[in-house]
Amino acid sequence: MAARSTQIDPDPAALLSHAAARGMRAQVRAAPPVAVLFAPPSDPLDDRTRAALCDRLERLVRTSADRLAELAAARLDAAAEPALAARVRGEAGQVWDRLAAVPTLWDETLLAELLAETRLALLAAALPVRAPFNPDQPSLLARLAHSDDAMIAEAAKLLLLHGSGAEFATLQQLCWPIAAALRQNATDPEEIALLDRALISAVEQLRGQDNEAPAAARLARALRRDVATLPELIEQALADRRLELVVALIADAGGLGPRAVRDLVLERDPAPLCMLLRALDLPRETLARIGFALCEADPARDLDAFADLIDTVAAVPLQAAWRAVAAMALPAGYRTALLALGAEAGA
Amino acid sequence: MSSFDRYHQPASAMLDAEGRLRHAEPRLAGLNARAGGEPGQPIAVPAMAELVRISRRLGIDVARRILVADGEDDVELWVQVEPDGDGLRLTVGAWGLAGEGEGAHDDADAAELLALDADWRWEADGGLHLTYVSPAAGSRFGFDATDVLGRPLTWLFQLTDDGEGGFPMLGAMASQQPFEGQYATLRDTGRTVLLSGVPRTDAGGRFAGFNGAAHAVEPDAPETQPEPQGLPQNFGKRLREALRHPLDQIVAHADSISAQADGALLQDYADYAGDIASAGRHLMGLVNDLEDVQAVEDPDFAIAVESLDLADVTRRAAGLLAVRAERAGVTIDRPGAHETLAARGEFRRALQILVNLIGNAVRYSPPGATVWVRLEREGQIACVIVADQGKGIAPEDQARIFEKFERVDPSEQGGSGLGLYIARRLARAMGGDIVVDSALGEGARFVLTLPLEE
Repeated sequence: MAARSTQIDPDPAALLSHAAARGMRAQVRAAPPVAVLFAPPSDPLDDRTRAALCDRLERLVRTSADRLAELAAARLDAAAEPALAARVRGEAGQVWDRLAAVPTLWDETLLAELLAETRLALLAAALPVRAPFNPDQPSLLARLAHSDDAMIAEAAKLLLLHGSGAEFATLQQLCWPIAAALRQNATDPEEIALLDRALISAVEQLRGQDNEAPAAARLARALRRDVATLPELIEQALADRRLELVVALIADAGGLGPRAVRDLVLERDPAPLCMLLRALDLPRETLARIGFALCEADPARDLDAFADLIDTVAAVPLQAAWRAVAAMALPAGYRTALLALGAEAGA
Repeated sequence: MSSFDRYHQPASAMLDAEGRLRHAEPRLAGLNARAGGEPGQPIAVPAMAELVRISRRLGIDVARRILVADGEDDVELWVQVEPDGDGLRLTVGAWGLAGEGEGAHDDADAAELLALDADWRWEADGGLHLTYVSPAAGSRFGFDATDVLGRPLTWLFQLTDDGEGGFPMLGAMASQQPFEGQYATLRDTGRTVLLSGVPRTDAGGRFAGFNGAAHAVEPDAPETQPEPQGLPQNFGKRLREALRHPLDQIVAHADSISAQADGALLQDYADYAGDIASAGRHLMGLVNDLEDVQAVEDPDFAIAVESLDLADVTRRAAGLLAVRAERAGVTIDRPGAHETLAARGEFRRALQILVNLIGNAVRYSPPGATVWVRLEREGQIACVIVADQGKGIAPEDQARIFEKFERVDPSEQGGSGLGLYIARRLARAMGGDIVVDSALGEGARFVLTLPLEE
């Protein structure tokens, strides 16, 4: 079948190096400059994404500010400074406005990460809804939430509770800006000293608390039992529009970081994702379902190109497919530098 | 849930491997013809042809909502294409004029609107299990928000009717429209909430869950008194009354089509009709179960006890299950025609219990297995023992299986999780009981006991 509107060459060898190169570039491209966030609407971020990103950022900042304020206030209470403690708690509500007024405070890595999360969530929400095959049966996560395996049940419940992105762990890069915002209006040198001590200690505690892997990754790992059920799990998670879980399942199966897989899913060029799915030896039908769902969710994607690719990658031997995606398993900094130096993708 | 629109049944067509029309039901054939198509040619309606092409290309079932110009009208349809044997099946449903039907694209917006002034939000999947609850809701309203996730919606919300037997949420499932004004009591706390929600529908027109909102209500606001436990007043009865007629119709028509009563039919359609009839019966069975639960939990429930021949009841129950057993490759070894066992109970309820026990045994038996049904007498007690060669029930599950809505394996298909609960309550109401003796890997023996007739 002739290739369609993309430049993808259906020749497997060329496809392999193309996929590897694109795979590497997918993760690097994911980080836009800070200015984009606050730039005028003519920029690449469409209004919907921009609004969703700002929402997510605001919720993250507010939740994190509450958490940090509470931890600092607890320390101040313990230090017999109840007035200061109350003041810190009161300041939490102002943090968002203060930080939003100073864009230079925003860490580029943080914004890139949030943007990727936002785009994944929007893509998931646009996926076609599928009614359950058997209406007697609970959906995948509802079923797993009451699994006999405690790890599965706990991770599934967390994913249900937080999966829509309502709450998340504080990202490291926000801690200091928030602490600074909480302390901003203090003027008395003695109070400043007390506040600093409490806030610094609170930040350290907060950082220590958020070391757990996200719920989706934990669930994928706990479900890692039977290779034969991986296609079923992916298809059910896809049908339930749990894209975060689909990403985690693929990442876990391939021994890749979830962020890398997420970036591949967000990438409109289907070649890297197809190659990865092929490397996992997933059945053709699973690839087809993933392709259809993503293309229905994002009309800018080319379904025919995806269909062509499914046929092409089916002919690629597993080992070769693995080599093509091996670049994705490299640490991010190493990958970026290799790309910048024009090094071989390793296909 | 059914993929039927309330007013119109879907229409289907069979295509060959190249996507050319073999044959189609009249409404679909008409639509295709008006677009310039005919049998032996590809589908002429462009959006449908595109979906056919995609399904062929990918080799999977695909569905979409499309807008089609038919004469002077714009019609909104859902279309599904799936590989079927050596060809493709095209199914089209929810005929209506554009703007009349529910806009699936507005589901998310409608849900947002509804949730704006809500106290908290909830979501349920297509099987009505809770998939999201606002985390703060639990602490404010006295329940564990994490624990309720994954449970049936009715586990948390005990629905109360609107004073006239109506349940807005159920109506919404059937009509696929948003609902509000559904009163419910929260489990364990007795607090009243007012629920609203927007259904999610898939591209095939099927119910896929709710996005809902909950509002706290002053305790004295609803006029109906919710039941402290069990199902709301007459819930089962009203549900049955509401659904009985339409379901009977579906089953009757489907049976007659399946039996090809009006002339020869393509086997596909006859089989399809058989599936419809099956599903209709299954649904009716669930509705009957709910009504039974209502009955046995009514404090005034009483059974008219009479003399009966337990052997006769047992043979009848086995007979009713003969066809199902044969299909499953299972043999039912039942009491001989000469056996008798006089006991006291109500014939209809005893039959219902035995159909449940023997039916379970058949369902959980592997092909080639035998289900034994034996009669015993012990002192003043008459027993029926149903023994199977299935996988058995672990000791820790043996108490659970008699509870309401419990399944040992929640992923097993079919059934409402009410059968054994109802059966045991019926048995006890007749002065008897049901007990189980089993271990994993050693099958199960269920024993129904009733008072012996002197």
